[in-house]
Amino acid sequence: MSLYLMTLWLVASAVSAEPPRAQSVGAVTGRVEVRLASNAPRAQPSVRELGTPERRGRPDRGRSIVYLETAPQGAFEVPPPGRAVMDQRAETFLPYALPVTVGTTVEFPNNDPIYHNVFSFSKAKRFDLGRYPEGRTKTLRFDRPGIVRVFCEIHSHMSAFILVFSHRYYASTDANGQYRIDGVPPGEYDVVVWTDGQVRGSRSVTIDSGGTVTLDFVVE
Amino acid sequence: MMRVRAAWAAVVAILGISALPVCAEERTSFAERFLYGGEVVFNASPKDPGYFNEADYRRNLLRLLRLNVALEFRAHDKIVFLTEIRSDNLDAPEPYALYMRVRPWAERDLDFQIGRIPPVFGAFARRRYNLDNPLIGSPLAYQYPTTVRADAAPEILDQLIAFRGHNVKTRYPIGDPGVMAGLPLVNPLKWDTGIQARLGRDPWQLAVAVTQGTIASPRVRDDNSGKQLAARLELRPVFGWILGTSIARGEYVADEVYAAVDAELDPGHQTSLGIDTEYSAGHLVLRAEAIWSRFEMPTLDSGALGAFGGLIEARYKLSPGLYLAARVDHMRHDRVEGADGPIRWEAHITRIEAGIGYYFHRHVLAKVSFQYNERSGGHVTARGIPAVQLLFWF
Repeated sequence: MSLYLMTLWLVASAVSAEPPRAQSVGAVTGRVEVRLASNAPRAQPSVRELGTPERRGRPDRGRSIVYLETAPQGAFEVPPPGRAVMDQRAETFLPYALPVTVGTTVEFPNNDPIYHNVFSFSKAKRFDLGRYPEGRTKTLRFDRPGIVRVFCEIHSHMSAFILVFSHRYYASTDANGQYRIDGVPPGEYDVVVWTDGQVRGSRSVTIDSGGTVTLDFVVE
Repeated sequence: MMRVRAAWAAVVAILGISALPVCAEERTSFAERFLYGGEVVFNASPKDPGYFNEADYRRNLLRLLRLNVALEFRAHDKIVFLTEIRSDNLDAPEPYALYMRVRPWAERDLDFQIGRIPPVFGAFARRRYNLDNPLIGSPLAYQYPTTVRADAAPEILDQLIAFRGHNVKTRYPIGDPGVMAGLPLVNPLKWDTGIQARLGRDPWQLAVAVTQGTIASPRVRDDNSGKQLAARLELRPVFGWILGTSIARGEYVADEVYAAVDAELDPGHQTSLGIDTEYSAGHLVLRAEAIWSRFEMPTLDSGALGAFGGLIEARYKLSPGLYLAARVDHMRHDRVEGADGPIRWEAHITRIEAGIGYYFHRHVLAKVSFQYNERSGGHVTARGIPAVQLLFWF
């Protein structure tokens, strides 16, 4: 699934769902098992260095984002004003994939003893925060749904994703692959799993009033 | 036969090292130990009758197709093999970097590099030529040939002076009789061969290298009995500020020059001092570099020929993917006593280059620049040169 199609999905989610009913909400939970090799950028060869480069961290590319493709209409009419953090540490963005709702302000602290320069050429948000040192934080508000691919201008191996949703029905998997989307009104939904830059699968579920559906995925 | 045995011994050693177990936390697959990257660059500009952008081997750096691939293989936690292979204008690919990096103690900031190694001297020569260069042209000190040659020498000073401003077509009676370009102060297009040690890490590091050639004439096989000793001390006094000092001294005159003269000649050394600095913050990067170099001329009694090259460069990002850049560059030479009186042994040259760069995609950069050159000698003394560059990196 291309990034463009997924962006369309994210936008479409704002207009294509049924209105919520006055019923108790349910949840979608489960586990995503990731078995694929990463396709994220790797470091450039250090041919031009006078010695071994600084030891780098490893981004956690195995974490997935699970979300409802079509959210209940009205669920996002008052998007919660939020803040989120994408850290820069050991020449790595943490987390590798950050889901946020439209209107969220993301902080980009630099916790490395070197400069970083966060930028993106993505259509959903084109920006360049410039170079800034350790201990400083730059912030940016994300106003449009879509996928924002984030890089560092100085360190070409640094990359991450910010997934900007029109609704709040998404969750990141934890270190064990577990996720949980709460507060889902009853209805039929497509649940999508996104891992390391791509949509990896989609399943339909029906949420009953107050019910919890368990949905596991294997990403290979 | 000895070379074949040595090569086989090296292969066996490499395979043996590769087979050594790495520590558990660093256990990685073969593919994960392997890194690659490269550039494909196309430069275009009008013909330049003044040869302002010619480098060694008569390459005009503004009219160039370059394919560049870099490879890194981590054979072991402490041993890495690196190479960079390049083809200019579809010539046969050449490994202008090919070396082994050894880090004897994982927790100590001490590295050794052996083979065709990155230059210790200065700052520009280790940058990726196209991606890290905000403009299309190169700094004069790293590109513009002087009239001094390693493989040929004048008998009298006026033979050298006669080529002022004609540096890509020098011809001297001693040594190689061919018409060739002279040496730049620093040649970043070829890397030298030898051993280098780096000690320390931010906020300071010291690198020392012993190599076959000199910064102006890097070599794989030595063409004289002398070696070059080069060192660089780099400091980062405050965030965003890099300050580097480099020195180098080595014998650059080739044996064929000594052999062509009956008398015994003193060795011809190149001695150089460099200072470089970079400051960056926000959307601005400022760089400056100054190089003083002296070429001893064994066939002349004029003493060493001194030259200076200096530049100031700035890049400012106007918006995501779009930047402005400019460089002011100057090269001047010592005064010598010619037959007609005092004269600079080579023509001064000043270059101003300004341009813009735009990223169409993270991996595709286009640059447009205009370069104005002014020289105090030669049949073309001033020239404005527009240029475009399209760069793909991976």
